[in-house]
Amino acid sequence: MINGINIGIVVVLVGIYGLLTKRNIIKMIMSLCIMNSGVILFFISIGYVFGGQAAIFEDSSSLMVDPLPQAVMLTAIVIGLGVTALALALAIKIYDEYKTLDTNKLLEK
Amino acid sequence: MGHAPILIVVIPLLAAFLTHLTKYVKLKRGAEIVAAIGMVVPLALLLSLGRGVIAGGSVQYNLGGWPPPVGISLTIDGLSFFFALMVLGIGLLIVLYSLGIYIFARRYYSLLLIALSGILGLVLTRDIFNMYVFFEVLAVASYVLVAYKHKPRAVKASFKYLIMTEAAWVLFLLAIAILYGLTGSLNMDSIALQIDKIYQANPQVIYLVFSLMMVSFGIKCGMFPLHTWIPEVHSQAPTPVSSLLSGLILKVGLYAMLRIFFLFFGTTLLLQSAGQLVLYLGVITLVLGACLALVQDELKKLLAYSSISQIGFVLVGIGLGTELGLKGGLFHIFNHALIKAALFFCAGIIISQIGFWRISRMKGIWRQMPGVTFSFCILSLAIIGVPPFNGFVSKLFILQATLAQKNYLVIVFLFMGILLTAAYYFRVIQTFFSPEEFQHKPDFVPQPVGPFEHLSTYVVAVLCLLVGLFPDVVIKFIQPAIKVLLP
Amino acid sequence: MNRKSAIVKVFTRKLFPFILLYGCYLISHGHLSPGGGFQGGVIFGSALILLGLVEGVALAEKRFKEDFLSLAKNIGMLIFILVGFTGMILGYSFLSDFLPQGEVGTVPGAGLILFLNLTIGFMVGTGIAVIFYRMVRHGS
Repeated sequence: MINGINIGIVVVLVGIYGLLTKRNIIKMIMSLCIMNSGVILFFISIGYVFGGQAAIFEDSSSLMVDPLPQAVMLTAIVIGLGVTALALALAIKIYDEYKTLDTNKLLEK
Repeated sequence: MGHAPILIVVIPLLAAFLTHLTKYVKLKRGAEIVAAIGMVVPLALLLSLGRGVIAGGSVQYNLGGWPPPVGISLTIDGLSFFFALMVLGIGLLIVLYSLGIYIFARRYYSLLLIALSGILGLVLTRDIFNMYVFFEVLAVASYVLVAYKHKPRAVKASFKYLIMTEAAWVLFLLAIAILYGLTGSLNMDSIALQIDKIYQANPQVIYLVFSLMMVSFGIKCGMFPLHTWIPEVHSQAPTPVSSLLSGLILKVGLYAMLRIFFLFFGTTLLLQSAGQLVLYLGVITLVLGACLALVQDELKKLLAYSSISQIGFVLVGIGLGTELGLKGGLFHIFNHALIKAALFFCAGIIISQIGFWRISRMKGIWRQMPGVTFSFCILSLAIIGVPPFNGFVSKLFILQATLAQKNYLVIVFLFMGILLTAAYYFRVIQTFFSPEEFQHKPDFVPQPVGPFEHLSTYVVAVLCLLVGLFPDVVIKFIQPAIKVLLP
Repeated sequence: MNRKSAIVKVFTRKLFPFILLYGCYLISHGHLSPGGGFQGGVIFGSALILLGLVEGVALAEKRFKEDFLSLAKNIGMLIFILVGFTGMILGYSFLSDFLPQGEVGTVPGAGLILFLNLTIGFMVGTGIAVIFYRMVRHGS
């Protein structure tokens, strides 16, 4: 029951909940990061083989973990880093202009 | 030219980083020259493949020499060719318009080229995760482009765009993960082969994948309940970026919908009720977008709501799923990209000349700038669908396709959408040609507008008339695309 | 913020080359052990961030100028694409491995992957430093 796949989906749902209910810009960015991490956990767990080792070895007889999800999720992590940096830069800019991070107050201005 | 597919993607990317290096070269307008070359060369490469693709063939290219189920492959078939041609054409138009205003802005051209390279990449690729990566490349470049001028409202709009689009891509990534877990492959063709068997065994999981993808592509293309980012972002972005967003980035969602839905779910879900879902959401989108456009007073916001409404027409064409419906939908994608890009150009010129955003303050401006208002009229007539122009042909195809299915309720709404489109554009034209004298804004200095901006709008106005008179030229490009979608 | 601990200052100065060395190790062993271009590049960038935090951004910027880092980032990307083109010119496809295969388990054994990792590490390290400079200089 408690394995990477289920936890990953729960984490994604937590992120969606945060995105829908929180009205602070920093918390919204955090929710996006949480969603991203949940998907990464989910995808990595799909490719995991219990007791396997990394796919760098000389004899091909031993059990190995599927390397494709790991390579793919590395790309997703890098993209997440870029997007988070950009979102934080925009948040700094918004705070400079409006002196608030609350989206309810931003809507009025 | 066996290497053409990858060169089409990589040359704009190479040019994007070369534009930064023009700082060290004593060359007048170096960035613009590099940007233009970086788009003309891929266009020439693409056209060199044209004869074979229109005849029904396709060109496949394996990255790193690995064959498809293992490696990433790029394929130019009919659908990809149509979209890539549209992207490069509109991209050149945007560069032509930008020549006048953004002098020496290297970063702008760099970001524009990265965005275009992202669109070209996702149009050509056949690997579903690679598609996600190109989506993100495009998205990150476009967030920065929207906030390019550091206006406070533009930054706010860019943040809203970022949050909604990133949430969409996380859901798309989740769908990719589920598909990988089910099939063990990321190649679209090998996933499509296995999906029928999975549907027979466990239909719920396919419903889940479908709905995740529907939400993420719906956010990208502005489908009814998910359209909320469009008006703010389109109206606050700089003018050429508004054209890029409306002309190309909205079409990206439609491309993904066409490609993935027809390839994956063409034999299972679309034969049942899924097509109807797209159809009725399209109907709501078109009527709602038109109604909201009717009450807008800001010119660029009106054009943004008009974009939503026209996307509704395309969704109706896609949702019908017949050959005629797809023909109308693809033709309308082309027409809307062309016309709406030029309409945003016109709006940009008008706003930069008079300094007013509101339509009600634009009374009688045709005496100030007759050329731009005249081409605005032609373009708006084209998008309403008045006979000699191109919008008429595509809307006629969609109506014929709906009539062939005897779906009279949808026809009523389509006519209503067309009439509402006419209503809100005629309101703008009426204001432009009002007999009252134009009231200048006090102490406003108009920005200089060069010949390039005017030229780009006139070129599109002439193109609209030509495509409307000879639609067979475009239909020749659409036929192989339909052959890909409905084999 | 004027109070600066002498210990932190001295240790940062002594540690700085070793952090860079560790980044280089992660980049160059990316195909043999956990690590790779991005991870090593981040370590590389974090060394610059540490210098900026402890010594002040002004001093860090004097050593590593932003223009230079930005240029290095662009050139890294260009080298990546040109390496891809080289495979194409030699008659293979884009980014295919044109180097002779070495022995498995050694650093030069992976052909092109080492070079691509090096360019990526270069790009990521300089890029992260540029992001840091831009964000910090904004506040002051």
